[in-house]
Amino acid sequence: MEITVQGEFVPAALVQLAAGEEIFSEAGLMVYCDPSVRFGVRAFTQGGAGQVLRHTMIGGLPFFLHVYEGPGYVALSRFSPGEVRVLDLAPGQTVDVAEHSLLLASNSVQYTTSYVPGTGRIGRMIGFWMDRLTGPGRVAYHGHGNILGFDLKPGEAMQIDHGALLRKDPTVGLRAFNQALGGGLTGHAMSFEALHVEGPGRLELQTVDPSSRAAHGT
Amino acid sequence: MKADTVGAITPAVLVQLRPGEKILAQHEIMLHMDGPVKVARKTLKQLGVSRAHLMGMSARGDSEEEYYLAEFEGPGNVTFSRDKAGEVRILDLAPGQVVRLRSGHLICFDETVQYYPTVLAQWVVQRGNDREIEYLFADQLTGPGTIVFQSYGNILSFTLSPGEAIRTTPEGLLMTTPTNTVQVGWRQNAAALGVPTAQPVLDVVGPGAILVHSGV
Repeated sequence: MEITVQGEFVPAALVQLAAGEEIFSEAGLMVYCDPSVRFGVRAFTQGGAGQVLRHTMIGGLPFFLHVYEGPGYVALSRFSPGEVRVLDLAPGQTVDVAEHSLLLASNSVQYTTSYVPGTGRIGRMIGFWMDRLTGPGRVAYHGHGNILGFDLKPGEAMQIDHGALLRKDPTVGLRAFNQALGGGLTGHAMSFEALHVEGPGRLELQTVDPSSRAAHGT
Repeated sequence: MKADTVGAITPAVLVQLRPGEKILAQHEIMLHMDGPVKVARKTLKQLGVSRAHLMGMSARGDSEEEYYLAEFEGPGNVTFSRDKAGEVRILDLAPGQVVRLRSGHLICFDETVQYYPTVLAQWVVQRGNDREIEYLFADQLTGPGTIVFQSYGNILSFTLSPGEAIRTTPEGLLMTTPTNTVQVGWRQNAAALGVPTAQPVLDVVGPGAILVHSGV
């Protein structure tokens, strides 16, 4: 499978599939494809009916993934300004990618989810899911805005905005917390949610929050 | 502070703070921070903006002004992003140097910079039978210190001679020096459905510097 990144401002990933080769993606990402490419769907079945409903109806993950089978080409895009990165996963190698950032993965890649609990305070984050991808195979993902990469040493920590998280190794710890704005009750009442990340492992951030209007090109 | 732009189309700003160095910013635009950065709250009243002035700004509508800003104290690194495509400018203000920056574009500034929200221009629009006043809000920043801001789209810079004028739209004006005067005019559009329409324009008259941006 050959993946080429097309365009700069709003990039697309052009995948050249050999006969019988398959990739999967979320619905609605296809820009164009070869008429010879066969199209199918793959249901999200992780953890049984209860878990599927929790992930999809609460977590916002898709019920069905789209599958494209070669021979032929297919181009996929998140239709928003950013960067596309392609990653080759070794057998057993796992990465966590933020929701709605995955562009495509070869069908040999195992797709599950990882839940990050929120702070649980009233009106605060209830938590979120990340796509967990395990090799062998190739994945492509879209970072909104620019991608900033960090290789964290063991114990090295930083604090990040929720919308900035794009990709991390499973070894990178992640914990939601309330960042107080100064001391006292007022400081705590005005606190904002952030994520504490701690190495070791690879961490990538994106400079545009996908929930902001800019991520949708408006 | 030492500020650098990271990335091209939707840039972020990486600020490196020395021990004890403080900057102010809206906390919503923080992307990441590392090192022992302390975060505190600074109300506009603490920055010298009177309550009466804030109430006046608030009464004029959504000025996008916060009633408090986040204060980040070094040592450490903080990254900010306004989640928009555009250009980031890092400007060192000399003592007493003043600029007026369109509201909603400021990223961060040294604690030595004096911050004061203000109204840059206002005009009356007729909506049906109602007459409404619209405002162009701005952040007035006085040196010494460094300010960082972002445009939407690209920035065009002009230095106006005394009496020289440039016409722009309320959306296009990004920054002006207080030596310029900003006058509101009206541009007549082609009649739509037989009804003539007009659009406000800003005539900025020098001497002074002006920045215009290409996005909205």
